[in-house]
Amino acid sequence: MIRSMMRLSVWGVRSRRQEIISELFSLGVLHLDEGEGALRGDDGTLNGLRLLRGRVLGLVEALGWDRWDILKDSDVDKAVQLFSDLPPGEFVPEISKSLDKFSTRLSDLQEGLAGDEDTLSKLRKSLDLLSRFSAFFQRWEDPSRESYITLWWIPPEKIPPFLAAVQNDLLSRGREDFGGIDHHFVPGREGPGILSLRVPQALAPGISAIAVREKALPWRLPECCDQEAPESSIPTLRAAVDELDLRINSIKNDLSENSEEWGPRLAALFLFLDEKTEQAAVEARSETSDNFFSLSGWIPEDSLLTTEEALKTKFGKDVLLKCRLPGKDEWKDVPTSLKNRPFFAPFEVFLKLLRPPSYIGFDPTTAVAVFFPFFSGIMIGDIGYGVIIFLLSLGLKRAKRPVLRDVGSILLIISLWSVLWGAVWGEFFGDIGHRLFYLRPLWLERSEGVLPVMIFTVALGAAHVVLGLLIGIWQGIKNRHAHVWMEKSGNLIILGSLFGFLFLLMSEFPRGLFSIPVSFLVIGLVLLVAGGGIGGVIEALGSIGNIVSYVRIAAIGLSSAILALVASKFLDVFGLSILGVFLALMIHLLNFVLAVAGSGLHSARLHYVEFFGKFYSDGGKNYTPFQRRSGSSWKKR
Amino acid sequence: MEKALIALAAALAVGLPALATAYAQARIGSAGAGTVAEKPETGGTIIILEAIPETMVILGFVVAIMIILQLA
Repeated sequence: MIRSMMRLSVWGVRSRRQEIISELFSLGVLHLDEGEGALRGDDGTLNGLRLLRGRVLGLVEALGWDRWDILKDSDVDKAVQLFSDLPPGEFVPEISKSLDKFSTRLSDLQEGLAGDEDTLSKLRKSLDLLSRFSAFFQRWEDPSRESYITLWWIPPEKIPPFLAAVQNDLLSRGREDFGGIDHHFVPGREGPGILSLRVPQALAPGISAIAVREKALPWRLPECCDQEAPESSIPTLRAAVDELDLRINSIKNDLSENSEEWGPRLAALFLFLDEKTEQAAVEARSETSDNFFSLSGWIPEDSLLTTEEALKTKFGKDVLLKCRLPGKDEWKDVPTSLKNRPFFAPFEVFLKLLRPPSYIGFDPTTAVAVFFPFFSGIMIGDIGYGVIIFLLSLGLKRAKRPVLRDVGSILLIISLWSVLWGAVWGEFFGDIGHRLFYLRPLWLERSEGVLPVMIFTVALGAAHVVLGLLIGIWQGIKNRHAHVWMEKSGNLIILGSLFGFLFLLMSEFPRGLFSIPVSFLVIGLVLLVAGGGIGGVIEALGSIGNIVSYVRIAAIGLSSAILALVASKFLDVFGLSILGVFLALMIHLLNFVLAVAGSGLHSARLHYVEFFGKFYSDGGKNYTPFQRRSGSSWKKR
Repeated sequence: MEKALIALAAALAVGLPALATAYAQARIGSAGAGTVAEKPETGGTIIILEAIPETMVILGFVVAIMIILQLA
């Protein structure tokens, strides 16, 4: 049912504007007009709040905290209590000051961590590289220190000329006794690699000049061990890596503790600031004079009394309320709020996939609550499957998320219809009920009575479509849209005349009676064209297709029944062996999933296309009252 | 031979519309995925559009059943 809305205007003394708006926020029933007027009289408070809100959110993200789902209203209330006595102009600077210290410390930690991680990465690369030379270093350990190891970046093709140049230099210095140039090369992934050379100390001054000539670059050790020789630096490097690792872990632990401690507090602070920002935005948008302010919006009629009482009690003569019903020209602006009994309320989820119905439209929730489980139950039509769905629904009804609880409620009703139609078709996990308990159908078996079931579902479709048309006619009359009720009436009369034709064809009534449905057909056509034009004629033809579309209920039900029979056939072929039972169970599992998913999807489709198409007018606006958001939807925007 | 042809007719009556439905739904589905990625609020409309071509295969199934019943 679509709730009746009233246009509420609130006037108040300007000095108490913030309080009044805060109270309206707490009451949470007033849907304010979007972007009503430009921002007026914003003294920088709104901008300050927005900046601070953004800053707090940035800190939450910098901490890497993302557990918004564990936050409760009570956490936000604590933040509210801390600052409730201060106006935004005072608490914004206070909070900013305390955040300065926190964010400085946090950024120091994070910068330190980034630097250390970078250094650790370089140390590890150096250690890895030197480890690949360790065999070479050990082979040429020289206690006399007459030679030393050097490391060079050099492309592979430059190695022979480089070695030749070094050899020549050795010879020119009269060091034929040194022997060949001992070297080891570790290629890089692409391009240059590292060449390690053992050269005599005497060559030390000249080696750099040779390297420059041969386009080789010196490979330097990290700072922590640049005073050591490469061959003796490995233990020092390892110690440096271990120490840095420990330091990094310590910083990470520190950050993690900060995140656990401050993340929820900052998140609650963000939500508090978000609320205050929203209230400040409303304040800035309100119409103001020197002494008074006003704002307007839509309020459900059933909430009007409590709102008036609450405001009058708290503010007395400082607030004035005026309300009225919406005019005809305002219907398109009125938000749509649905309110249904608890039994039907879970089915409102089907309307969430569409735009809300217009304020003067029809809320189809009750009709969906009646027909959706009914159609699904016909398609599933198995006592065993119905019992499993029932157990599943009981589990879902205990879920924390409201959507899952709604799905549980819907499945519960589907399960009851599935069991009922399972008794009608005589199915309990296919024909296992018949085999074990001699279960007989109350009407017929789906796999054998295909045509009667198809005729039944088409008749069901006709009734459903006719109901849709009747609702459309009623809407047209109620809203005084003559073309709507004329078109729907014409459509209905044409369908009725077609049914009359069929009835007369199949019966033994005299052929003279055919003139009755012909007359109605003509009347229907006239109404249809008058109301809907040529489009109406196409719509009427489409209605016939819509009715035939309901045969899918029989088709999907039949496929489910036959698949269940196939499962039993596996038992016939393999007997009561492990393989036979396993295969039968797998087929039943597949059938169950297909039956539940298929029945839900096709029932929904029949409603969305065939049923809603006859009367549903969307174009409504969502009812979003000015209130605290709850649940995961309050996450950062 | 006649029964075989009737059975073949029933198979074609449901198979060809099934192919057509699959082709239509493939095109709608891929376009719909892109639409929903840009505008999540159109999800409901896309689901409805995705389900519309199924009427072809349902009607093909009806014809196939009627043919099979003749065979029986």
